[in-house]
Amino acid sequence: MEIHRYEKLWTVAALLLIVGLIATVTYGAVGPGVTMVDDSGGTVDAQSLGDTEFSDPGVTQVDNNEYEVHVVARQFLFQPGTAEPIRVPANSEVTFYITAADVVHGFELAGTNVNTMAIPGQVAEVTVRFDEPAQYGIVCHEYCGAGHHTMAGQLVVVPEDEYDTEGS
Amino acid sequence: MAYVDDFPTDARIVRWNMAVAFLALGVGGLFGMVQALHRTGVFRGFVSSADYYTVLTGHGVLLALVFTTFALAGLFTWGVTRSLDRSLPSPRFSMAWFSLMLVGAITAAVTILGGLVPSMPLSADVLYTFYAPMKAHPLFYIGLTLFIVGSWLAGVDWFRTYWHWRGDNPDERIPLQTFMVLTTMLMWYISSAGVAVEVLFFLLPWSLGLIAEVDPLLTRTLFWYFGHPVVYFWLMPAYFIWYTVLPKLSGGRLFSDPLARVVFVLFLLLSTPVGFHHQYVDPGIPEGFKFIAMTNTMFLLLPSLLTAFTVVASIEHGGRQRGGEGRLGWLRTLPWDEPAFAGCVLAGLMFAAGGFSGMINAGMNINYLVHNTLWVPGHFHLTVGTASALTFMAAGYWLFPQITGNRLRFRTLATIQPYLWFIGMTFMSNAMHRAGLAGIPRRTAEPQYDSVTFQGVVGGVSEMRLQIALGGTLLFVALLLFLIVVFGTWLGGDGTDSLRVNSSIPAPLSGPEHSPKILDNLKLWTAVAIVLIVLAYGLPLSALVADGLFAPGSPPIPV
Amino acid sequence: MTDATDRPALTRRTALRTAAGAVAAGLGARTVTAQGGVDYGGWFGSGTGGETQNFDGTADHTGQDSVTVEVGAEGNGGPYAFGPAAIRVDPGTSVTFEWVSDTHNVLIEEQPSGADWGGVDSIENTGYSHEHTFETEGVYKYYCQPHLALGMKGAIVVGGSGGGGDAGGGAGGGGETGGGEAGGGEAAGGGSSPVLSLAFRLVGGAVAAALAVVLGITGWVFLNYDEFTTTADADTAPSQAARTSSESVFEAGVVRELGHDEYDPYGTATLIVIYVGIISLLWVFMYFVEFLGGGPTVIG
Ligand code: HEM
Ligand SMILES: [Cu+2]
Ligand SMILES: [Cu+2]
Repeated sequence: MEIHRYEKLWTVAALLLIVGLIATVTYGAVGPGVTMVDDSGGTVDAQSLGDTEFSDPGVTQVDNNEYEVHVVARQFLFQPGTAEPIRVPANSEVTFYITAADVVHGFELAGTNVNTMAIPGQVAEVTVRFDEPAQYGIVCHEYCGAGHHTMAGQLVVVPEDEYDTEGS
Repeated sequence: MAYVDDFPTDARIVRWNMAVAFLALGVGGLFGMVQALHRTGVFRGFVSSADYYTVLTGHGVLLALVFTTFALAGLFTWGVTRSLDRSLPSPRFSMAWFSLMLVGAITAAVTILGGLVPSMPLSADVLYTFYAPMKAHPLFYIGLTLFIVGSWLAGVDWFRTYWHWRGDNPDERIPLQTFMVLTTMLMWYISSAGVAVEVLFFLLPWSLGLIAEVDPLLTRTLFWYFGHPVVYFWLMPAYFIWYTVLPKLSGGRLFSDPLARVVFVLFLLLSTPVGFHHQYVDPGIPEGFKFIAMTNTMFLLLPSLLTAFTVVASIEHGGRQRGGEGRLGWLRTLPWDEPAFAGCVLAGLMFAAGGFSGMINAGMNINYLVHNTLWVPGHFHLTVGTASALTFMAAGYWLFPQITGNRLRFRTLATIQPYLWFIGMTFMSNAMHRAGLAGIPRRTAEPQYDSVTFQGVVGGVSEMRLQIALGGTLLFVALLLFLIVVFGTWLGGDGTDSLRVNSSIPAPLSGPEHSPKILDNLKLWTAVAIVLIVLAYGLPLSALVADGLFAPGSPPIPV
Repeated sequence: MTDATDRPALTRRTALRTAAGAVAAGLGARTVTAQGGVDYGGWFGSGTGGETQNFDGTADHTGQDSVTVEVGAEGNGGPYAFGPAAIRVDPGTSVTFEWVSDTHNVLIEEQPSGADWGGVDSIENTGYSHEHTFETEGVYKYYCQPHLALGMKGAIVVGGSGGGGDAGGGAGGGGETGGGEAGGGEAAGGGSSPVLSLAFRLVGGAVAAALAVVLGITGWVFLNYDEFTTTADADTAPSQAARTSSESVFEAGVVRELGHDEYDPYGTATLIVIYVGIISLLWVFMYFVEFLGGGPTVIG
C-alpha cells in the first residue's frame, strides 16, 4: 500500500497521542486513585425501597472518620438533600449509596468531580473525601419529568468540631 | 450531464430526501432557539418550563434522527448512483423505503408535539434517548421502528445497486463513494440491531401493557450500544462529502484513496464496541468494561485524525493548483466565497475543536468533570450540530442545482450563511463548554436553583448565558437564510438553467490501485466487527440479564 | 372572561388526566363546587410552578367544624395533588392535612396578615398528618415544594372574604374536557404566552394535517409510480450541451496541475503539528488542573 511519508509519520504521531491519552487516564486511576462508579453497590427493588437499607435514608457514622449516606432520588427531590441539607463533618471519608425510586435521575455535586447516575434498581456506591468545610449544591442532571429543573439540594461539610454538637 | 438529466428518477429521490431533511432542520432549529432563550432565562415566553421538555424532545428527534438520516439517504443515493453510474434498480422500492421513513418520522413527530396540544391524547416527553422507566405513547416507539426499518431498506436498495454493478464489473475495485456507503450501512445494520431489540422486545410491549416491567439499566445499555455508532452514522456522510467532494471544491484531488478506505473500515470495526463510554458513571457496570470501552474509544480517534490529514492535504493540493505558494499561502487562494466550499471547511474546523472536547468526554475518569453538564451539548453541536449539519447544508448548495436543474438562487445570502452559522456556533458552543465546567446541567429548563450556585471557571455565568442566547439566535437566522436559498433554488426555476457546477469528481492523487484488495472484502470486516462486539458486550450483557431479562424491573412512568 | 374558552387549550395533559385530577378523592361526595367567585390572582395558573390541573373550583365546606385535605392525592400527572385543591371554610374550622402518598410538604405562599399558620416544612410520607385551625379570614395559598413544578398547589378560603362577584365561570365546566378549570374564575397564569402556545397548537394541527396530506400523496404517487417517473420528453429537456459546463466554477480557478510526485503537503503537516500541540496542552490543562486539581473526587 502506497502511503506518503508524512502520512506514515502522522499515523505514528496519532497513535502516540492516543496512547498518551490512555496513559493519562490510567495514571489518574492509579496515582490519585480516581475510581469509577461500578457494580459494587448491588441492586435493590426500586418499588419497595421501604424494605431495604433505603427505608430511612440519611447519614450514619460507621467509623471514626467514616460515614455512610443513603440517598433516594425521586421526582423531584433528594432524600436527604432537598428538604434538609446532607450534613457531614470535614476531614471525613463519606460513602454515598444513591438509588432512584421512580425514573432515572442524576446526582452531581456542583463544582466537584462527584457525579453519578441514579438508576432505578441499581445502587451507585461513591466514596468521597471531604477535607475542608464547604457547601455544595446537589443537582439532578438527568431529565426526570416536568419538574426536573426544580430538583436540587445541598450538601454541607461542617467543621469537625461543630459536627458532634449538632447531634446529627 | 447534470445529474438530474442522467438520473431523473434518482434525482427525485435525492430531492425528496433532502427536502424532508431540511424541513426537519428548520423546525428543529426553531426549537433550538426556543431552548437557548428559555434555559438562559433571556426569554421564557414561548413555552412553559414543563413544555420545555416537549420542545427538547422534538429538537433531539427531529435533528439527531430525522434530519441526519434523511440527509444521509439523499447524499448516499446520489453517491451510489453517481459513482456506479447506474440508477437504483426499482423506483417503486425506493419509494417504499422513503415513505416508510417519512411515515415513521411524522408519526414520532406528531406524538411528540401532541404534548403541546392538550386535545390530543399523545405525548412523548422522553427526550430522544427515551430512557425507561419514563414512558412515551406507544405511537412514539412505533414511529421510530418504522423509521429505522425504512433506513434498513434504503441500505438494501444501495446494496442491490452495488450487486447489479458487481455482476457487470466482476473485477473492478468498488468505487470510493459506494465503498463508503456500504461500510456505513453495514455499521448501521450492526448497531441499530441494539435499539431494535430495545424497542421491539422491551419498550413497545411494555408501553402497550403487555409486559409489566423492564430493566432500566439493560434498556439503557441497549440504547447506548446503538447510541455511539449512531453518531458515526451522522458523521460518515459528512466524511463522505469531505473525502469525495471537498477536494474538487478546493480545486484539487483527493490525496489518498487507500487511506479513505482504511478510515471507513476502522469505523466499521470500532464504532460499536465503545457504547459503554456513555455509561462511565452508571452504577451496575464493572469498571473493567468501562476501561475496555475507553481504549476502543481512544483508538476510534485514529480514523478521525487520519481524516484530518488526508482532507486538509487534499484542500492544500487544491490551493496550490489554484496558484497558492509557500507554507500556508495556499490558504488564501481557496474559494472562500463559494458557500459549498466555505461550509465544508468551517464545518471541518469546528469538528477539530469538537474532537478535543470529545477526547475529554472519552477519558474515563475525567468524564466525571463533564458528564451530563452543558459541556456535552457544547461538544455535540460542534460535531453533529456543525460538522454534519453545516456540511450537509454546504453539500446542499452544491447538489441542489444538480438535482433540480436550477442555478443557485440568492447567492449573496448563501455566501454569508456558513460564516453566520460559524459565528453563532462559536458563541453558543464555547459558552456551553464553559458552563458545563461550572457544573450547569444539560436538559434543564431552568438551570437556576436556590440551593446551588455555579462558579464559572473562565468567565461569569451571566455572560455565558448571554452568549448562548445570542449564539442560538444567530444560528436560527443562519438556518432561515439557508432554507430561503435551497427552497428558492428548487422552486425558483423550471429546471432548465445552465449550471455552474457538475458532478464529475477528479481521480485521486493516489488511487485504489495502490491499496490491497482485501480492503474491499466487506464480509471479512463485518465478521471482525462482530467479533469485537461480542468481546466488548458479551460479558456485560450476560451479567445484566443473569438476574432475569426484566429484573430489576420498573413499571412504566408516563411523563 | 374570554379566558373561559381559551384556557383549556392552553393546559397540556388535561385531556389525559381530567378524570383523575378532578376527583378530590375522599371528599368527592361532600364537595359542592362553588364555581367562580374567588380570585386567586393566577395562583393555579402556570405563573408559579406548573399549572394546577386538579383545580376545579372552590369546594364549599362552610358549616363544618373539621375538614380533611389529602396531600399527595392523584392529580397533576401522578400523586401530586392536594385534594381538593381549593376549599372554603368558616372561620374557626380545623383543617387536617393527611398525607396519602410519600415525599410532600406544605409551604405557605401567602396568608392573610395576622394569620399564624406554619405549614409543614419538612418532607413527610404517607400516614403523616398536620392540623391547623383557621381563624383569620382571608385567602391562604400553599404548595408542595418538590412538586410545585407539577402544579401541586392549594388554597383555603376562610370566611366570606375573597369572594368577588360571580364571574360566570360555571359555564366553562360543561362538556369540554378540562373546562372545569376554566370555570374557576382563575385568571390565566403569566408563565406561558398565549400567543405562542396558540402558535404551537397551530403547528401541531398543521403537522397532523401534513401527515394526512403526505400520506395521501405518497400513497397516490406510490400507486401511480410509473407515470410519475417517466422522464420529461426529450424536446422539453434541455440539451445536454446547454447545461453542461465541462469545467465547473470550482475547476475554473485552477492554474496548474500538480501530480502525485510533485506535491508534498507540508502546509498540512504544519497545521496538524500546531493542532496537536494545542490539544495536547489543553488536555494537560484539563486533566491535571481542571480535573485532578478540582474539588472532591470519587475515590472508591
Ligand atoms: C439553530 C441551531 C441550534 C440551536 C440554537 C440549538 C440549541 C440547543 C440547545 C440550547 C440545547 C440544549 C438544551 C438542554 O440541554 O437543555 C440543544 C440540545 C441538542 N441539540 Fe441543538 N441546537 C441547534 C442545532 C442543532 C443541530 C443542527 C443538531 C443536530 C443535527 C442539534 C442536536 C441537538 C441534540 C441531539 C441535543 C440534545 C437533546 C437532548 O439532550 O435530549 N442541535 N440544542
Ligand atoms: Cu431528577
Ligand atoms: Cu408533592
